Amino acid sequence: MDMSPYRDLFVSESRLHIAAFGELILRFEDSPGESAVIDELFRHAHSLKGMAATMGFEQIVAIAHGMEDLLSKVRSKEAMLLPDLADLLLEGSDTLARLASGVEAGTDTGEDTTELVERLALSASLSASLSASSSASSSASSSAAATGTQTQYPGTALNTGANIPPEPSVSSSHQFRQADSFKSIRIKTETLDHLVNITGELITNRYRLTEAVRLTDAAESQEALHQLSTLLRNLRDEVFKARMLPFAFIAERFPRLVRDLARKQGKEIVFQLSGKEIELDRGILEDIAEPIVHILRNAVDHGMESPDERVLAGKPRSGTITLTVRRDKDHVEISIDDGGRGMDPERLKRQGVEKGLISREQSAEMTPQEAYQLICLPGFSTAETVTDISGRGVGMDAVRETVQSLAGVLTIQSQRGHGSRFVMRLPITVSIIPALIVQSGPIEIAFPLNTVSRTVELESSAITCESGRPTAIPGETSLPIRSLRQALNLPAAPNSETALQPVIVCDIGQMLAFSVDRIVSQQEIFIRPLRSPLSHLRGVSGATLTGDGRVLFVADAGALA
Amino acid sequence: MSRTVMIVDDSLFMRKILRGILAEQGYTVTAEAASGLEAMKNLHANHPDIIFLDIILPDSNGLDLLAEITTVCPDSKVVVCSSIGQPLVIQKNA
Repeated sequence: MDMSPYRDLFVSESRLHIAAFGELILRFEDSPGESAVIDELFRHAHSLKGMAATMGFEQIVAIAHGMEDLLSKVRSKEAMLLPDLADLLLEGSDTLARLASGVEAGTDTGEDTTELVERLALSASLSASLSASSSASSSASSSAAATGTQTQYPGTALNTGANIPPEPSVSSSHQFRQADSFKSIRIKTETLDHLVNITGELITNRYRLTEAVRLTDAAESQEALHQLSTLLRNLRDEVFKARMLPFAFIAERFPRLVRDLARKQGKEIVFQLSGKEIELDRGILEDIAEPIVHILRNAVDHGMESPDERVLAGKPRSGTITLTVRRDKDHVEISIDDGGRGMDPERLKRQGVEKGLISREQSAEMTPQEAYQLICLPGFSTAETVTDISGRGVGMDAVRETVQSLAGVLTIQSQRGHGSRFVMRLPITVSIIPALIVQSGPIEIAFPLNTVSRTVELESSAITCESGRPTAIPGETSLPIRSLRQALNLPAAPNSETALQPVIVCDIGQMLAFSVDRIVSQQEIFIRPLRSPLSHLRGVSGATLTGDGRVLFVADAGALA
Repeated sequence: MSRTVMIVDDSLFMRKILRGILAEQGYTVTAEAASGLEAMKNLHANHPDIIFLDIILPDSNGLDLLAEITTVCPDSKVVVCSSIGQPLVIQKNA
């Protein structure tokens, strides 16, 4: 039988098992005796083994079998819970993940897994001996392990039959849980991306059609057009819904990441994650994973104190890093609290001056809030923040850039001695967003509405433009107002006769204000990313097509300031 | 009359493979179940002639399910499928 048609399905289903397995091991580590967790672990290892055996992937079979056997003995209490058991199981699941990737790529990873399989088998037999005779010291056992002595371990339950292990699923009565696997199907993500693109184009086209109908005054088309608009809205909502995934989709690796980093640094950290059921567009999830990894890494590396330092500060030895996902209307807030030492705004300012990023005068006027934002300036983070997890250097500047490219906002709060808090406020869907279209000189540009906090009209004479000096804005604190013309390198307006000039106030973690010539309209736009060489344009984060077929750039307020 | 066949397995991959093997032998799978609950629903509704049963399911123990099947559909032929290697489970239910 030709098995190749089943390979993709094998890989995707294996990944589900491996991911679930990794998460369960961490839960297992938290509460080692919990039989429900062990049952689940067993089930995943077992399913994977069966699938791999069907496909003839012997390496995967051997590892999965080793893990399954070990778990089966832990469950039946033949095997003791050794402290490094979780490490061994994690190593197993990591190896399985690599092998699955090899299967996907159609290449042999060339990895020698016999040693791992032996250790799994040894661990199962060793721990069995330990639990069987409590007098056996671990050093004796490990020396047996090291020399590979064939020892007959007496009293294992399999031999005596005295201790019958429970069956794979412990419930003897039918405790059925809802399984909805038939109500869902798998779709290639490309297909979903196409659907969004087509929907976006349809919406743009609808604007053009509306325009055309208005010009010809074809009254009988109105009703159909109205219906088309309603249907398109429904289509858009459904397409977006199809792209939504729970935060859990990317969250699986975070507990492990924090655990491994904390261990490496000798820090004691409890990681709490809440809101992982909250759904976001998969594109956003994909892009936001790396920034979260970076912030978590910073939290462990820099935010969290060492146990001794914590005790000196009158805190418990062990600290808590909290990752909270929260839905707020059409936004999702992802916040990371480290409860650690917090940042010192004065120190950040000094560093900013030393690195030549801000002037001494600027630093003197900075609020602590603004000082925290300094860490997001390119060139502020140093080599120490290059992650060895991702293998790439991702600084806080890249984090802020990613958040902004998703039309989101990053805010940083900190309190010395009490920790830092990074909040990423993101739209739940991307691509099609409401925007404010403004005009400066010959150029129209779109500001994503979620970055605009308000618009005001000020008397031109009241605006102290270009000096960087703040202007009083009614209802706001005073802000420097920048001319959008200047930001876009356009010639200054011919001596403005109009008494009132529109000003848009943006809130992107910091408050910014731009004076513009005219506010044109507010409409839904479908953002398309810019490709090279346009992707290097400063001040714009994408482009959109208007109803009448023109291309509009989407403003990146942070870069225009 | 052609026989009705149900596959009970939580793995979509395994169901597809088994469906493929059965198709090669000229059998058409008439129902699939990914859980004990789905299996029971189908069992009561359709009384399948042949059942391929995985013994490790997310919501129930396939062996308990087997007992239930023999009560509800005593005439159904059940093929128990599993890659389980732990001998006691096999012995106990032999």
